[in-house]
Amino acid sequence: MKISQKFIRKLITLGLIVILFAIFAFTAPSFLKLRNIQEILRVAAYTGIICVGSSFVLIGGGIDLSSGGIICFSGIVACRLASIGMPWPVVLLVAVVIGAACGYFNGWLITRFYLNDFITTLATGFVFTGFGLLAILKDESGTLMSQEIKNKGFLLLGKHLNGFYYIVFVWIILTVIAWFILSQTRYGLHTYAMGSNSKSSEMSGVNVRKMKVSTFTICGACCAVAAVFTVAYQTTAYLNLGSGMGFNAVAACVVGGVMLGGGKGDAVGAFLGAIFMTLVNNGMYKYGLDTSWQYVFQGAVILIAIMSDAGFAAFTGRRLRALAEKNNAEEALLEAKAKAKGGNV
Amino acid sequence: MKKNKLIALVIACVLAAAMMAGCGSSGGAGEEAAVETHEAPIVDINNGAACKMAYIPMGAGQEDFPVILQGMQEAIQLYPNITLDTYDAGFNPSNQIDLMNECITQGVNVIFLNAMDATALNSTIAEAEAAGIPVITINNGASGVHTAHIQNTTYDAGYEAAQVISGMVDKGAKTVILDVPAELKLACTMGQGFEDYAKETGAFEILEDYAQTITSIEVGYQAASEVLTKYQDIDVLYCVNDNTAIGAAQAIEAAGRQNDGIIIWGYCGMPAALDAIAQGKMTGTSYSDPFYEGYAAMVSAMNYVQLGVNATKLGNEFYADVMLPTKNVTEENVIETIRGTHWDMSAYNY
Repeated sequence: MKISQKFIRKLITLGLIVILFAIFAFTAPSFLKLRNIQEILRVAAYTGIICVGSSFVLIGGGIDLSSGGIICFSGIVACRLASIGMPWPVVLLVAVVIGAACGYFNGWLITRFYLNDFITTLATGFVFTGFGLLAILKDESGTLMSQEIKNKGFLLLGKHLNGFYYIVFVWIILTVIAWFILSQTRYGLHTYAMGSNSKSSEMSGVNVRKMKVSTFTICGACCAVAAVFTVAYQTTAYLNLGSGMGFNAVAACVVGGVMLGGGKGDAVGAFLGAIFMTLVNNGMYKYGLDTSWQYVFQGAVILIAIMSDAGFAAFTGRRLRALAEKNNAEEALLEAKAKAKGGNV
Repeated sequence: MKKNKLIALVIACVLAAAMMAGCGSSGGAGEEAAVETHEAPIVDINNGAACKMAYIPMGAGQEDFPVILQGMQEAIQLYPNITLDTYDAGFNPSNQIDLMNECITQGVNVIFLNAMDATALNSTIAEAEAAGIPVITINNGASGVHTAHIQNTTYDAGYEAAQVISGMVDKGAKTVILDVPAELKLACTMGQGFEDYAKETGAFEILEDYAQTITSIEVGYQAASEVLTKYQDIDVLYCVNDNTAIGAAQAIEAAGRQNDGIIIWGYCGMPAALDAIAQGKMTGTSYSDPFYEGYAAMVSAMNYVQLGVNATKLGNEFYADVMLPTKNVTEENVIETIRGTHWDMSAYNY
């Protein structure tokens, strides 16, 4: 049976997750508690849903750092709507529309004005956070009010079923859908093509502009879904909601094998990346390390993951080159033999 | 490809419907399920019983965090059986929630918290209390019921500062309040205290209550520069934070108005502010020593674990709301204050 490189790449992330899991399980007594596993999944789901959206953008050759701003804006709107008693499907729908609109705006700006994704989304992230500030509840003097949601129907989204939070189910469902779209549809194929070589795919008839806008729109919608479930869990929204999540999601995707620059990776890799990142965070708290060492540990483990990925890429690259050289040598040999016989190849 | 799209659409619809059905079902275990509550276990710390405590500040960069921690450590120095772990939430309420959950999972005996958001942490605080863990908030509290809250006064500090300043200026002194960012106004009410004194006595004419974006020296400088341009005639700049006050002092110097006799008052008593008061660049500050907040919080926590007290045991009620007083520090008593402070003054020559 031939094992694909893509599969091996996933095995590396999975292997790292298993190693980390085993280390924490043997060295930290509270790690294997059911509550801890539930918490890991809940936190991973939050990052993971954003990763689902980010993976579309990254595979398509872009990068979206405005995720935090979109989460903030859509989360605050969701909080306001839920607080006035709107049913949760309406709240979810409105938030997703807002998130998608923000994503569309990103894509439109980037493709219409040929702007750099990194800087553009960094800037729009501030704009969306500003919109969040405009939308947040204030009293007459302009003081921001902490708004506690009492809408029981909406708060249900933040609850759990037999200990497993609903956000985890949503994460799994979205990952399956994303996997299906990316691997089984023409849209997915075009996304990979665009990420691998934007110009070639455009010349092959792919509408790169529309594709790019759509990947950002999907990313925005995913951020909004994550925001709604998080707001329901926390029973409120605040200005820091989603802060730093843009970078976190990109890091998780990269750890999961989604390539910065595009064309490689998939939703399952992003899924594993989110678990890995959460596992690192969760595990390091168990040892009572000094804050500074917590950061060192976190960074070092992520570095190891990325280095093992780079090592694998270098290994497969060498193997491919060796194969190509071998093929060339065989071809040359055949050619020489044919010439010696005076015939044509 | 049309077939593929159709399959994708059907799968998406089925999954979405399943998701909605799952979320909407009323029989979910999570929905309003009765939370199993535990009273705080009694830990005999005087007889060497192990006790694990956790402190979650807003972030490691929180200015008073090291001094609060020092106070806590001082209180437990004779108790090797008490361990105190600290966690950095990076000034993010979501991180604080995750860390609270982590502490509940670890089964710590007490959680100290500087809450970033008064509401967002409520459900996790309730979970901790239900699990028998007393939660003690320091300075930045939470609206949900928990065992205790400890802080220095803010409203009274503002009110008392106004009283002191009123003795230095004529009645109706033109004043600008450089206030905290809007989202912190509920928790930091020193500006309100100052304003109320002004309303009651007519001692000050409040020209503006200026809400800054963040409280830092740079922002204080910008804010003060702006109000100095806007109002030529200012007698008092009441700043709700020492950093802001230091920035305001720099702005006054940059504008060449250091001889106009503008009064600059801060809040906190940070080393740079105490130095500025000693140098005559600031008029005064509402001084507080976070060491005593940390010490008081730890002593309270030690009592709670020995008695097995938490909000759950008390019928879901606050046990204690402790307000520590501030001290008005001016040029007259600044040296004496510097000698007694726990803030790190090693960068200054006193």
